Amino acid sequence: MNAPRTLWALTVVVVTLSAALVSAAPAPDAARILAPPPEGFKRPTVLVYPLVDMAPLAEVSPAVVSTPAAQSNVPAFDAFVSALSRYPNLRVVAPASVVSRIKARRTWLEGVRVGAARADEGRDASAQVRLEDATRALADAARVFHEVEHAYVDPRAVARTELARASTLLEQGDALEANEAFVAALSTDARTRLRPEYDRAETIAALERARLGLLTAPRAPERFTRWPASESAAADVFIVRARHHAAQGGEPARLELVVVSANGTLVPETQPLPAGVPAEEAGGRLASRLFACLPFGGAAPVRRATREVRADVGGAGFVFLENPLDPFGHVGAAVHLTTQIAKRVSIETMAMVSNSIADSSAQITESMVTLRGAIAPGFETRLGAARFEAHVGLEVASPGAFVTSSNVYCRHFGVPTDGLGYQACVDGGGLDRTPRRVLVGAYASLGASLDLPEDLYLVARLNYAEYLFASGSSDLGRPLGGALSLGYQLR
Amino acid sequence: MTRRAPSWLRAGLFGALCLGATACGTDRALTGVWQQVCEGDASACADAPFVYKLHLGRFGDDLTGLVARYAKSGPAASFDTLRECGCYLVTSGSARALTTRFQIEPGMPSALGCPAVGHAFSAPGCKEAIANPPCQTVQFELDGESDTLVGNLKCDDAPPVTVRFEPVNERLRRTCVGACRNAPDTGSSE
Repeated sequence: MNAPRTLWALTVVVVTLSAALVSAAPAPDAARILAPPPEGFKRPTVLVYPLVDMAPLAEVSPAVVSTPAAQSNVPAFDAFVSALSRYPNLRVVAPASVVSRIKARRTWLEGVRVGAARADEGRDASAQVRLEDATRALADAARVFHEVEHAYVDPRAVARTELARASTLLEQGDALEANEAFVAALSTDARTRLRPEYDRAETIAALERARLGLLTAPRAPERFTRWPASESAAADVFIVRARHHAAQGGEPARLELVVVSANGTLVPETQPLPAGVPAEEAGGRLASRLFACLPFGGAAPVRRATREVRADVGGAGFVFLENPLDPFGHVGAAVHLTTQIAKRVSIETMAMVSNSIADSSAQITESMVTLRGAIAPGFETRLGAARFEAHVGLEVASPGAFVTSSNVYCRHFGVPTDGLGYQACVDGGGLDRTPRRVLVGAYASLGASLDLPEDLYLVARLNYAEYLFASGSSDLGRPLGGALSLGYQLR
Repeated sequence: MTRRAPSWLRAGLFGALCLGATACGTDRALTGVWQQVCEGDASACADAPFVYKLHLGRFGDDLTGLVARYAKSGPAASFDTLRECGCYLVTSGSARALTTRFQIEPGMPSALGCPAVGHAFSAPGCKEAIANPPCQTVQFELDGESDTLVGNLKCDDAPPVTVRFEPVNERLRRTCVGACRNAPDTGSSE
């Protein structure tokens, strides 16, 4: 081996190994984070609730605004939502969509209807000075509104209900509960104030105390950190609730956030909003910190179809439509096993044993035991508690020895057995005997079942077969029959 | 033009209707047990030495079965098994329209499952009657189908006598062995 060739070979090996190492090196974290998630990636859902702006607490008479609850007047919060939405591994639901989600819940419409009705009852009772009734009705209304999270849809209406409750409690002399109701009203909508023409000094003073108390010692209501009862719990769904506080006593304004998960874990975050810091920067920092404490996500769970197996046993009967005699019946028992292999696809397995009953002309001199078995894939569909199924497949049948006679003595006295019967009634004499055969053919069945309690079900089936192959000559074919069975659903 | 359903479909429907039934149609009418009635105007019973019980099986136009014969001890008929005196195979049976014809052959060794000799029957005079039958052949010609069979029986060439049978709810006999269970030989010569 000469030196130049060895050098070339070494060079090629080194270049190849280097290329392999470079291609196998992990990508930078930033690139991974910003890269689109792979197909099938399951992103955590982050529901960002509308911002509760507590800043108007600082104003004695804030202007009443008609801003929809889903829109915020705080640019840093909007920047936060925008920044969070840019993370490709998260599915961020913006405040406007969260409001739509709340309103789409089945409980919301009913809750609003009930809450509004109780609020009206409470106000009527209050006007008639039935204070206990008024307090009870207004408390019911507020509770229902909060349960369905109506405060994020129409905070002003909920706050006015709390305010009416507080006023009534105060008239009743319950100053402590009244203060809690005033706090609840202000926490729901910080712009809540008494009407200018309101002249009850005690109420005016109590609301003012509550406002100043919240301003100096802000506290979030319990529902701020709670998973809503009307939202179904899911491990990969997170709720972000935020409040905006105005600058107070030398402290800058701030955003107060909490991440709530269905399992009860809480992650509080606070983002100061000092003057001079751009809203995008503050919102971006907050989004970055929140992103760090949220799960990254992962592969979507593989949906596994539940393999359902149903077993039923019952009575069955059929008639060979192809038959040299007048049609005669076969009755017996059948077992069916139906295995669901996909949402609407199943395989039916059937086994049946039957015995013939006398034919109308009594030409059959020996009862015939028939064995049938089938396997048939097919479709099924549900309609409430009922299930309908259709299967087509393969049947193997074995009708027993088919013994007939046109001799009247054979037909009446039967074949000789233990000294009884007609002695001349033998094969080739008075008897025509077709031995047991094996028949193979196509099988079809239609079924309808009804669910019963305790995973039981009742099923009726109609089946038919067309035999295509026989192990010998056979006069019997085309069995048409049915079965009625009671079954149990295994999972 | 009216189209008829295919034959296999009609047969199937018919079969489905018959499913569970042991027999369909009217071609099994007469099948059952018929007992001779001596009350009323059945003059045949008065002087006759025997009364009869018919165990018939009808298959369309064909008829077969057994006829059991009972010895009389007075004017009244008795069908006590102790008085049984012969059990014979029905031959040449036919059932057309409402007329039923058949015969038994007491003179032939044709008792299904029984020997021709009468040692198994203990009724008085029975052994002699079997050994020396008063009739070689008894022919029955009866009319009716459901409630009553009325007609006559004819012993060889003697004048026919009127007889009447009514159905009784008994198990249909398909062997004579029950009446001659001590017999050493079993089998039919038919």
